Amino acid sequence: MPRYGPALLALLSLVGTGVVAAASNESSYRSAFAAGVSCYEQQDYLCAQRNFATAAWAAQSAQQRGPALFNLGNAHFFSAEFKQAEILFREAGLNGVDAELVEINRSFASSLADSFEQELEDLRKSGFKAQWRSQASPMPDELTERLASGLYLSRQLDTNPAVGALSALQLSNRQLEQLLRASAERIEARLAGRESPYQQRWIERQSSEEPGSTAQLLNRLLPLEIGLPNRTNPTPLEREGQRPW
Amino acid sequence: MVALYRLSVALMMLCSLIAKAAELSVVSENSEPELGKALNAKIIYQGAGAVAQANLQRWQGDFFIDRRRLETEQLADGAVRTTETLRLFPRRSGSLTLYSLALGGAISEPVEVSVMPALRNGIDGTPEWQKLPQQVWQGETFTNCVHMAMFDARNNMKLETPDFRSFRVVALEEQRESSATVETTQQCWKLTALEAGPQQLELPPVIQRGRGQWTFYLPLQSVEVLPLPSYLPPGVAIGKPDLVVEQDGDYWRVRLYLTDTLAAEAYGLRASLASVSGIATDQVDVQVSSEANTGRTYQLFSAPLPTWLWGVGEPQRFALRYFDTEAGMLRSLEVDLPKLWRAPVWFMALLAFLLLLIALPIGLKARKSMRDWREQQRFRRAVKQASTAEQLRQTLLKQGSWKTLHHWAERSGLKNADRIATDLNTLCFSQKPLSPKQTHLLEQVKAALLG
Repeated sequence: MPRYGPALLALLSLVGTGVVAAASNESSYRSAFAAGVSCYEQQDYLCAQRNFATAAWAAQSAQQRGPALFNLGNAHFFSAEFKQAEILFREAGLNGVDAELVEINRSFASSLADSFEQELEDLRKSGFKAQWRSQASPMPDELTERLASGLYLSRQLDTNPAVGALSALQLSNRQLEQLLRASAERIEARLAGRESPYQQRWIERQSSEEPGSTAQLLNRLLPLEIGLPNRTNPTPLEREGQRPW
Repeated sequence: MVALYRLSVALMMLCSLIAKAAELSVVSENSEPELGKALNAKIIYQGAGAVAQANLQRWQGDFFIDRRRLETEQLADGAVRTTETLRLFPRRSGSLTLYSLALGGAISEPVEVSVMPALRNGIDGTPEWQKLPQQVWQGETFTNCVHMAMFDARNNMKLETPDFRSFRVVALEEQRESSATVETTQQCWKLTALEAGPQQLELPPVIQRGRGQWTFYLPLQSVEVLPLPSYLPPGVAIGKPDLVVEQDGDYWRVRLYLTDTLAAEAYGLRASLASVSGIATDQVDVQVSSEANTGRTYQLFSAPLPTWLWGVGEPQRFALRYFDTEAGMLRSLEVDLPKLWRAPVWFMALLAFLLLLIALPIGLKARKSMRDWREQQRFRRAVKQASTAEQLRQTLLKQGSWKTLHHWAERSGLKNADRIATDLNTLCFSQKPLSPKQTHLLEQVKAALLG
C-alpha cells in the first residue's frame, strides 16, 4: 500500500482540486449575488453593478446567470446607462429569465436609449441652426445709421421693449420680416374687428423643484412604469404656478 | 397701437434695405462635373467688412471639401469682397445640391450640380465600398473591402490604410483580378471595433492612376458599435475561437485562433489549463502572435503534463468562455483532452518487473504447450502417412523411444492401447502379404490412433 501512496495522493488532489474549484465558484456566485441585492436595495447602483457582474461571471449555469444579468441590467438602468441595460436584459432573456419581464424592461431601456440619441442629434442640429442664425442675422453697422438719419426712430428703438425683445432673439432679416408682417396683419385684423388667428399658449413660469439629474428623474419614472414600489421618493410631484389667463 | 403698426411697417422697409447690404453667392465652375474629378467653386461675400470662412457642414455629406485660399479685397465703393476658393470632390453621381450658406448677415442661393459617373470605354470606375454591418460588438472583428474596376490595364489603385479613430485596422494584401473585359483591384481590411457608440467612417481617397488620374471620395458609412456586457472581464474572446489541443512530448499544446486582431491573451484559458494539469497558472507558458495575411490572432498555450494520467474513464475537459457575437451572449467552448497514460519512471520500472514476473511462467507454459501440440501434429501426420504396419509400428515406438509396443501401450494412456499393440504386432509379424481383411484391420488401428 505505501508503494501506491503518491499515486493515490496525486489522484485525490486532482479530484479534490475540481471539487474545490466548483464549490468555490458556487460560493462566490452566492455571496456576490447577495451583496448585489443588498447594494441594490440601498440604491448604491455602482456597488450593485460590481457585485452582480461578479455573480454573472461566476455563475455555473444559465439558471444562475439569468437573474444576475437581469439585476445587473436594472443597476445599469438606474445609472442611466440604457444601452448597456438593454443588452443585459436581452442576454438575461436568453438565459431563461421570464420573457415578459425582460421585454418590459428591455423595451423601456431601449426607448430611453433611443430618446437620448435623438436628443443628442437634436442638440447637434440646434447647434448648427444657431450658428446659421448667428451668421445670417447680425445687423450691419449701417442699420443704426439708417435708423438715426433716415427714419429718425433711434429714440423709439431704445425705449420700446418690444423692439428690445426682438433684437435679443437674434432673428435673421427674413425671420424678422415675417414676424413683423404677421404682427402687422394681426394688428390690422384687430383694428378691423376680426378674430385673431393667434392662440395663446400656457408657459410654466414657476416650479417648486429643481429639474434634477436624468438619473433622479428616471428613478421616479421607472417604478411608475414597471409597477415597482416607489422607494426613491414617495412624495408625489407637486407643481406650482399660475396660468396667465 | 397705430404707432406700433407704423413702426412695424418701417422695420419691414428696413429689412429689405439690410438684405441688400451684404451679398453672398456660390459660383460653380462646372455644373456637370465627373465623379473622381474636382469641381472648382468660389464663395463670394460682398459686404461692409471682411468675414471668416463659411460653415460648409451641410455640404460634407455629398462632397469632400478641399479649402484652397481665402482672399479679401477692398472695392471702390468702400465695400469689402471676400472670396474663398474651394475644390469639391463629389461623393456620388447624380443630382447634388450645394445648399445655401449663411455668412456675415447674408444668405446664398442653393446651387444644383449634376455629377456624371466615371465612365471610360464602358467601364464604370467608381469604387465600390462594401456596406458595413449595421451593428457590431465592441471588440468584434469583421472584414471590409473596397474594389474598383480599372479604366486601363496599366492603371493601378492607390489607397492608404484608413485611420479610423475608434477602430483598429489591419490591411490585408491587395488583390487584382483580370477578366477578358476589365481588371479589378480589391483591397480588404480587418476592422476591430474599439469604442462603443454610433460611429461614422470615412475612407481615405481612392485614387486610380496610370493613364489619367481620378480621386474618389466615397460617401461616409455609419455603424453602431454595441458595448460589451459589463460583466465580461477584459480579454474575453469575442467571437467563436478555434481551439486545438495536442500532446507534444511532456507538454499539452493548446492552439487558439481568435477572430479578433487585438493580440491579447484570451481570458480564462490559462487558469483552466492550469486547473486541469494540476499546476500553478504561472507555469503555463503563453505566446501570442498575429498572422499578417489573415489578420487573425494566434495563441499557443503550453502546460507540462501532469505526473499521473490514467487514460481511462471520462476524458479531462477544459473550457474557454467566449462572447458569442451572433447570439449576443456568453458561451463556453469545451474541449476534451486526449486520453493518455502517464506515470513516473520508478512506477514504470516496477510495473515492468511485475509484468515480467507474471509473464515469464505463462510464457514457459505456453512454449511447452506449443511444443506438445507440434509433436502431436507430427505424430498424427506420420500415422496418416504410414502405408504398412511396420511403418506404423516404428512411428509408435519413436514417439516415446519405446523398445516394444507393449511399453508404448502401458504409457500411451489410450483406452484400447493393448488391443492396438496386439493387432499391430500380429500384422507386422505375419510373414505374409496382407490380406484385404488385414488391410482393413490396419486402417482400423490407424483410425483408433487418430482418435
